Amino acid sequence: MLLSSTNRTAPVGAQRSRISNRARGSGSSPLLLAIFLILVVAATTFIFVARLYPAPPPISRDAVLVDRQYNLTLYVTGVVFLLAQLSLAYVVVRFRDRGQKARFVRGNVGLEILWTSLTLFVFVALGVLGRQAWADVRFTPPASGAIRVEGTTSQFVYAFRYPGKDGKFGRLDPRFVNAPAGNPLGIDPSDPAGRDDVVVSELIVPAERPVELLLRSEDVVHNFFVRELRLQQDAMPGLVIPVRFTADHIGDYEIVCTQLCGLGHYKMHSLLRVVSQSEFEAFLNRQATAP
Amino acid sequence: MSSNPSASSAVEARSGARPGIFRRYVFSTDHKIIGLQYFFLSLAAVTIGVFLSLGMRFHLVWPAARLPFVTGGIMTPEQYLALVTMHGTIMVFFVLTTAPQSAFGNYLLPLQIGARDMAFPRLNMLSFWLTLVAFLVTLSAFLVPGGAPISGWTAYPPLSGMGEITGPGEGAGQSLWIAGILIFCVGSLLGSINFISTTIDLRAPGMTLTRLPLTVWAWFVTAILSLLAFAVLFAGGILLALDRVAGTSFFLPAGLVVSGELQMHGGGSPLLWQHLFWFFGHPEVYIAILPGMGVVSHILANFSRKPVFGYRAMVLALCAIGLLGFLVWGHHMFVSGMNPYSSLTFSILTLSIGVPSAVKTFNWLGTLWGGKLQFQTPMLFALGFISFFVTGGLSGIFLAQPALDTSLHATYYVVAHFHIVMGVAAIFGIFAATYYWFPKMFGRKMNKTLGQLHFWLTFAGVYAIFMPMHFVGIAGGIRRYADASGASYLVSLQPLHVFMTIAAFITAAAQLAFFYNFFWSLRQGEPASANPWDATSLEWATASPPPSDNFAGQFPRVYRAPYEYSLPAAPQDFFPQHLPSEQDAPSSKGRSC
Amino acid sequence: MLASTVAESIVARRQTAAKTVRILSLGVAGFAVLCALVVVLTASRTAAQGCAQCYQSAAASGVAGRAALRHGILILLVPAISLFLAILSLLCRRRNPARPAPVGKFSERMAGASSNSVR
Repeated sequence: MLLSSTNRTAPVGAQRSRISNRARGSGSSPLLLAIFLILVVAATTFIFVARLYPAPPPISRDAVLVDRQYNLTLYVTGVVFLLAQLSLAYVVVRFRDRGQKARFVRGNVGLEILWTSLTLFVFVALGVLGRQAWADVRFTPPASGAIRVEGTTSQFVYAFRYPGKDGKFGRLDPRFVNAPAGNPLGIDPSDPAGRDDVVVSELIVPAERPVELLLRSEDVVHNFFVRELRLQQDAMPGLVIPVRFTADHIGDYEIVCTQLCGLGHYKMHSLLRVVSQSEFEAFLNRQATAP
Repeated sequence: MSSNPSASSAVEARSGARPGIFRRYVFSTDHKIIGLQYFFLSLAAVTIGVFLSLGMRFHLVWPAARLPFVTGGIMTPEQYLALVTMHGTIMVFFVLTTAPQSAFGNYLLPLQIGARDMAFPRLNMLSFWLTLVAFLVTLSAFLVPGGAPISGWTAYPPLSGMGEITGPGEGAGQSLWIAGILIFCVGSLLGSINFISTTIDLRAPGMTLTRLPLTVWAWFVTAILSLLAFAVLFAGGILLALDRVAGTSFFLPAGLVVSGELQMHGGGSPLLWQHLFWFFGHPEVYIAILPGMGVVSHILANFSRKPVFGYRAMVLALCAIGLLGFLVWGHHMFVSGMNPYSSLTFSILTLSIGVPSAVKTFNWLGTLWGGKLQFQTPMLFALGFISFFVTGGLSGIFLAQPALDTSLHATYYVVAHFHIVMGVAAIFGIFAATYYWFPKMFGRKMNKTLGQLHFWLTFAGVYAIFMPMHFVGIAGGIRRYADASGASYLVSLQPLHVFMTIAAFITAAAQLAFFYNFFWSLRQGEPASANPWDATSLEWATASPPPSDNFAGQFPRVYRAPYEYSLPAAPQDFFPQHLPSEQDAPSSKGRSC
Repeated sequence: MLASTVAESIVARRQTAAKTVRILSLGVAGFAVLCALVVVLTASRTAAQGCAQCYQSAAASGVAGRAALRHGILILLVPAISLFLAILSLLCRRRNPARPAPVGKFSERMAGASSNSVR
């Protein structure tokens, strides 16, 4: 049965709110909510400002550009976060039910246009500004003289191949893959270019020299991620995907796999070792003379 | 539940006999019963899903501990990944897609538009049973040799495309997972057709588009998304199944060597799966959140005693989010090897979705501004939704830029982001809806003190769980890692993990307040009138719970916009939609689309 | 006379609704063009050399593969967006539910929801 007006003395359609006075303003809820929101904002801001859990320092110029864009985004979103949560805190306290009548407002077209265009502008501007950091890494072809290394991922190891003195990679054929026999990548034995290829489990590169890393995968989708380079790329079976970087600081940096690749996913890691030019040449020579 | 479902009245009319329990409560075509069936299904699902996540959180912090439900005692990495996969699958499909849309939408849509039932009641019943079967089939992956799949809810091939050789659980477990998802897709598709037809064709006289509650708009847009997105997932799932059992190679390139064995596939692309999956996957997250947005608008208006600020803008924003949601899937694939130019286009489009989302947030604040705020439990959860939606939405701004995503992809930052928007905000929408419509569904109110306790513990708890997670991600903590024994820097993040795990257990325990409140109130709750919240929409114009045909033969006619609270010229506080008035308040003349 | 003014207002509202849908679709199309323009016009200098990643990838997987994926994006997008807008405009065209329900066995059960309503 449809309910008609419960209050016979009022005009048809009229309803008085029967929510009890006890429920009005609901006691401490608004104040508690406001305090909590302020706490969340304060704690979050503190952790960011105090850099309690930062990303490790960048080691390349591209990484520095990425960090600049990250900081810009952090400032903008931080301000919005602060304003939004604190507005919510303010509103719930200021307009809690203290017996007042609500202001009947359907909307405000001017305000809608204003905040829509402001938001659109801010977000698109962020996107456009962030374009440069992406373009510099992804649209730039490798510099001449870049050191070419091929990175092959498989369950659950990395293998890095250098072309050796002839500067050419030997042809790969999956039919020759035989890790126990010392040919994990399947280098075709009939290809002379492959005889001097160097295959190691760590990525060793000289500092301040451009590197082109050709990523591939033997089985499932893997990934190559070095935090300090701010560089991450999936290794897609069936594709050879080049990434390029120039590491400016000598040191050892962890390479981790971030794309779920099986039960050993969490154990799949390697090392990017950025060394001096002389050490790099020594490494290549060592490998060339090794049996 | 005291009334006969509509199926029984048809049966009665024909045979004169009252149908049995089975017809009334199990194989019912009454949208209210079906809505409740979906609700209880998702309640079971969320319990299992939370249980799985507690297992995950425990293992991350104490990997060597012996656990009671784990085969073999100590959890292995593959068991951890099985938990990851099934937690994601169950939560996304059987909780976040089911509860907001199929449960609440089915129950309330016909009521809110003044209809007797959905457009296709028998199809509706079929949809539910398909969803239940899908749930059971998916769960059965735990029980087969090899266990549940380990490829994540995203199931990327080749890991998921070649059977047991890529890992444990990838044999029968993955096949059952695919079967369950395919069945779920069909149920979802049929349900969407019902929602769309019902909304277009069965509205009561006077229920023009600008008089639709925002919940109805949200369910409508969500149904369109559901129709189009699940169709693509269905196709992708079929292709994946064919790759696994029929020797095809849609997603498998040539030359794959798995554990030393050369595989005889060729010509396929793993990227194709990613495109198909995320073309579904991104609209899917809007399917999860849009109904919650409609519910929040609805509840905010009720408990601020004001109309929704900018009703038309809210409708346009819902449609814009829905439409734009189809154009952004590539932001899940920035580092996948996809064309980098495409990445920039997807990035700009993704950032643009922030605009209608921000508009909705501003309008919610505008609804609260100048209101007469009453902090009943549904209102608390609606306010919590806003806070979490802001937080989660803003972390998305980082992920939407490929230059930044390069460092955050597949870290715990992403996990924090989607948990806050989906695992918290959408869940808060479900809680708000439950507390709000419980009186209508069961004729009793839930206990207010327990409700408030539930809110405070959960609100604090989920911030405690997921805010630190951002920092784990920024520092390089990688997701789907079974423990921190791989790369050496991971150990330094363990204190954060311990904190999050403890917070997770406490928050999960706090949900007992909800369960106790819910089941206790079913029997012992304070009896509720037809309109305990003094609301205006049509579902409050009929008894609590409603009779089998919803309005006992007297179907309403609609005279007013949906949120006529506190009209200025009138002393009364609200105007229900179905009641005309001799004296119209100044600006309340119905403006139709 | 009342019927004709009602009919007129229905027609007027229908035209507004159709206009709204048209504006919406134009808006979306215009926006997509804007995005494309933004990307193209802010191109960095070296982009003119082409994307080395693309060339490498094309070499590895075949030009046909890349073209297929490009076509695939359109095949996914065009039907989905069209259907979305079509369903929305269907809603707008049927926005006034005062018309009586069509007669038929199934619809007789549903007829209680519209023309038989007592108020």
